[in-house]
Amino acid sequence: MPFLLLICVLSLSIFAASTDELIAQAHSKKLSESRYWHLLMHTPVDESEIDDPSFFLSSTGKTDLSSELDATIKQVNEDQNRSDTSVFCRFPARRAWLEKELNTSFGEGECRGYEVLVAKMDPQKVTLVFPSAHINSPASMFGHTFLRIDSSMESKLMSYAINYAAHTEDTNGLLFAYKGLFGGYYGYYSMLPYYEKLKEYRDSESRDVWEYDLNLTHDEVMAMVRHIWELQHINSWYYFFDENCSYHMLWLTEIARPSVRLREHFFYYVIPPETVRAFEDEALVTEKHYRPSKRTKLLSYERHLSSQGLRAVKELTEGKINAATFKEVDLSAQERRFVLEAAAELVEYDFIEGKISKEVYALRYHALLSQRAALGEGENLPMGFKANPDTAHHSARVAVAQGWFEHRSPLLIGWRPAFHDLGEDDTGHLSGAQIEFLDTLVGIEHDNVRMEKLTLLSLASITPVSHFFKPFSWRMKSGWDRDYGEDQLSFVTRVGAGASIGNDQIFGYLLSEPEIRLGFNADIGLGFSAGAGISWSGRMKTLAEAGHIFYFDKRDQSRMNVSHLWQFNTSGALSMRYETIDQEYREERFTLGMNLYF
Amino acid sequence: MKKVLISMVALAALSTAGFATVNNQTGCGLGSQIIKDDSSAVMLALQATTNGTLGNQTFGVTSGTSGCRKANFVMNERAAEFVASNMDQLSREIAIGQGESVSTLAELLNVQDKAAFASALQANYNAIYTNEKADMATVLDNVSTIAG
Repeated sequence: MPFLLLICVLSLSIFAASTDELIAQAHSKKLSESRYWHLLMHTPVDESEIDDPSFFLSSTGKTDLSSELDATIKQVNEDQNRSDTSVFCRFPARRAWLEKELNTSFGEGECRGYEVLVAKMDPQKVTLVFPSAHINSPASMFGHTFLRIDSSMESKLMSYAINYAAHTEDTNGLLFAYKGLFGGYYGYYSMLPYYEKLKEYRDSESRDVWEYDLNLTHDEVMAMVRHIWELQHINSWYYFFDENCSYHMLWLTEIARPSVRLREHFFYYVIPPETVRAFEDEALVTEKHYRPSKRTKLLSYERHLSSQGLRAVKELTEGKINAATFKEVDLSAQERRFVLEAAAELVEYDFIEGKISKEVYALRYHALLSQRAALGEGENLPMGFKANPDTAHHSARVAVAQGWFEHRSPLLIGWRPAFHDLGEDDTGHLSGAQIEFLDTLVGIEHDNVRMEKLTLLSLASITPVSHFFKPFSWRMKSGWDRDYGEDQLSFVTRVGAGASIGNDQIFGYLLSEPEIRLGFNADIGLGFSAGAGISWSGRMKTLAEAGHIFYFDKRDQSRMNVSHLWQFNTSGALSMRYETIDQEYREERFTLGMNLYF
Repeated sequence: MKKVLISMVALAALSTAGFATVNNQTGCGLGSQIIKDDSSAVMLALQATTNGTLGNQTFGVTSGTSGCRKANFVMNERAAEFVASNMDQLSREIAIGQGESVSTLAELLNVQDKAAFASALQANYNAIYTNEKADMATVLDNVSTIAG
């Protein structure tokens, strides 16, 4: 009897450890200085990146990790309220970690909301998802990443996707860009079924989706889920360059497995495709999967249909012919199936783009599918090969080259923080897309350093027309160069629009480009350019362009350039370029050099 | 970045816009996609900056069938939620005779032979999708009748 009493008293003392004892233990173990507490508090050094006051239990929690730890222990241990809204239920990750580190138990609560989430989610494994670029939006080449938490279901469509994004109602593009860059928006975590994210990225935005399965264990996945619960409704300022969507996925993964140091792969700015590589470098990735976008599928249907089949698709999509008429068209059984499938996809595409009403869409879609079902099972649509974005060249570039110009031969040193231009190898990138930030080139000769080029921003979207899609092509540039006058530096802003034909391997384009010149002379020009690009196997790219610019003030200019680049691995390329500029006189420039990407 | 309407909002907006007299309870048919709104060229070009979302459902654990007429023979909330949100993709895959959404539906309905399930549904397409207005409840009821 006394023995039982002793056991009882001992167990009570374990479960009823006083707050002071726990805090003392935490201090002696220096828990607030530990890496994991820093991770839970989103504190890289000494200040938390989270801005929402409801994340902190101490009034100085954002900057004082120790006071936050003490406040957490106190409230979790002493709070009588253990319902959904209590600190006890709102911070399961902190609670679980403290129980382990302090070798204690805080007991049970009534955390219905959390339990319902875990039951519905059934967290087993995690996959990193990367929707790649969206056509005609070169800026989206940076892509996006989010995490998908898989259940024990075989299907992944019902898995929950954890996404971090800026919450905005702004419609003004420039305001949008400015606030996104400099922290004018709140970012929030959200959770939606994976099928909703596929509808958004793969279907609505026609972006290819790449998946990277992670080898996190069940315990690690649960650690992530507990922390995700802590982050719901919590905001922080969204910063496009560093505290963006991908960056937040890095935190979540480090909390799952603190031994990986994903954020340390990045110095200041975080680019989504580079975060994919960080995951791979930290040995987190097992298998990779690819989901072609709606547009990619439709382009594949195009390649597998005869001209008769293509015409039938167009007419069916537009409702110009009906089932009876279609039966008369002479096509093989398999081609007939592909025609109906493609027409259904295209009708859906028209509806998503807002070109037809829901009633018209539903009628046509249903009629097409009814016909398709009657034709029974057929062959799968063959999809062409697409290189994984993790095989693309890295995003920052340093270039060293020798230039032989008309009147001088400078050593050229260039650097560009991001990202990709038309003359570079397209493997793993959207073909015909370009985005450059702060592309700088200086020329050194006889201790003379000259600014050759400084492009603040350039964008290009060379998107070939096809049977089903007729996008326009465009590009823009704003910055300084020496392409005007007599090897003199001037500022130019230029935008161009036009069209392109071809495919991912070979494309040709025509653009008309008005420009404004400022600097040593103010001028306005209207340029016309024709160009072509060829992607060779072995990661080589040739780009050629010729153009004429009519100037208001100075003489008109004829120009031409051709470049060839060989990407020998993701970190290096050899490149050469020849160009001529005929304005006041004929300026010839030849450059041969090497690019280093990191 | 263009604003992306979550499917439920789009569904509600479009079903009330298209069918002025249709009662919310009989919506949830074809048209479960996320519709693009008009984007200015500047918006499109600068799309990368925030990946913004108008999502007001931050942690969407709630069912997607709120407002949808319930099926008579199938008491399976997850299957109902899945079918309502994936009407278009699902119907296309049933017409083709295979696909990830059909397999998912089979799994949700505890069907063992997924290939046979898909074939049976394809053969009976017109019995499932009686007309273009067929809603989630109709589809689920018909599917369960056919699949047994």
